[in-house]
Amino acid sequence: MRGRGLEVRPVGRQPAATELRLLGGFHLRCRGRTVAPPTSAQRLLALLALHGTELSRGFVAGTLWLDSNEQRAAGSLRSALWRLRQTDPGLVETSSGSLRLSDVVTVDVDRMVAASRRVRAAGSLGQLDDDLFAQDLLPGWYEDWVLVERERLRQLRLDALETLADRLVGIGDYRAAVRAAMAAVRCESLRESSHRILIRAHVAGGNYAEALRQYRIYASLLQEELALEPSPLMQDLVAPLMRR
Amino acid sequence: MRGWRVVMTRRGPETAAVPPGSAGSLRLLGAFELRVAGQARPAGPIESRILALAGIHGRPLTRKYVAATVWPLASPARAAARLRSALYRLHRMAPSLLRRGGEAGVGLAAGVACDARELERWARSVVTTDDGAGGTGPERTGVLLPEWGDPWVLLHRERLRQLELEALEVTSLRLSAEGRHDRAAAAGRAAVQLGPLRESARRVLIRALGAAGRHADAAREYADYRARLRRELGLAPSPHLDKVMASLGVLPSRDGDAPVTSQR
Repeated sequence: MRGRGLEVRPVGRQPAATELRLLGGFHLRCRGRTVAPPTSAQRLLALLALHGTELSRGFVAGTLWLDSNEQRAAGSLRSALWRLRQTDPGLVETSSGSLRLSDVVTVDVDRMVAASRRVRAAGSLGQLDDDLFAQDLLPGWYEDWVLVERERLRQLRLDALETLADRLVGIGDYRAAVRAAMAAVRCESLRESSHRILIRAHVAGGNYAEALRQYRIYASLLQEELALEPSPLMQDLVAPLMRR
Repeated sequence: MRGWRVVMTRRGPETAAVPPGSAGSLRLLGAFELRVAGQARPAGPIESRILALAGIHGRPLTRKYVAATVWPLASPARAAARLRSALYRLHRMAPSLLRRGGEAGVGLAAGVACDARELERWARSVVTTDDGAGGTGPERTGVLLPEWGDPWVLLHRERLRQLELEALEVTSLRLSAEGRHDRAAAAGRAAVQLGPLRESARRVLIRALGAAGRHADAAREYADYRARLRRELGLAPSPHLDKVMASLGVLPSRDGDAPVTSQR
């Protein structure tokens, strides 16, 4: 009974597609089942997913096996590709000289990028899944191609969240503004601009005590982690609230 | 058979197979407490922190992240070694608490319930949907690990607090809009208890009381908030609250309180 239950798919939706998550860690689900390909196959899949377009075999091999000579790198790529096919034959599309991620694979990074664009364009928090915005790309992976992408994605979502929070303050939706700014703080806990927007959102909504509370949290984090004081910009922001 | 289908499609196979709480429960609101098979289990400070991190996040975390959070000052290699032995101790103490397959990351097993996670799930469902009053609230509310001073706890504590406050305020406003004024006042009251100095909580409570015709109670809330704010911070209520009071026909006098000037 359990076995049959597991195979039931939600009615009226697409058949369970292949889902690749790279935010917060590598996580692959094929046809509703979590699978863990070997590391070399994970790296290959992640690289293809982050680029989204067709990549030449030479570029892929050179990026992933930076320290090997061309021949060895090509060999490593062939073996990673073989392992990926063992995991699931439908993940990668290959042609003679190039590779690309199959269209059936949905990637959370794409969803996050699309959500950032939507947020910036429409200024609506609506169904914003701030969990999607809270997680870094492949934490614990330290290769250059990951570091560059991680930083780019972090900036993208911080900009989107801060822009959004500002705009929400402007239209008087202070509660949503606080949530958006809080998501930015969660991305990067020592970034002062995010804390300032959060504090401004509290003040604009009449929540002076909450603004001071957030200021104290920020000041204590900054002291503890970096032994620094808040900037003059921040101090000016809270000065009118410091009557005692 | 039919029951299985419904459960499967709604919750997904992984969570439905094991009812939450069957393998243990982790309390993070108000105090830390670990229960396994109905029994409270002592957990050392390191083990507690690993469990709390996993519980708050609700998804598997990489070992590197856990190690760097719990031992921020240790070298990565040392932190990783300490984490390995702490995970081993946890496994010896209660093998069913953490997910199997450590490669996938550190996370609570499917059958372990966590009150902070429940609270967040409820609050998030209230604030990210446009209708409904959130159904029944979570079983337990409260401050996240109030006695822990770790920086990461500080941030999650405030994040969760803001989320719960927003959810309570939104619930109160929705109930008011449906004309259920007593329940709206109860939700507003819960928000005020969580944030006695938070003006937006006071505003939704005052509105609900006013809509229920309880003007004297509304005026009392106003007076209490105003006195507290002045006593503790030396500040006067914002124009938002003045507007709410004016709409109830109560025009507050300023008594020489200077309003906070605009901040931009």
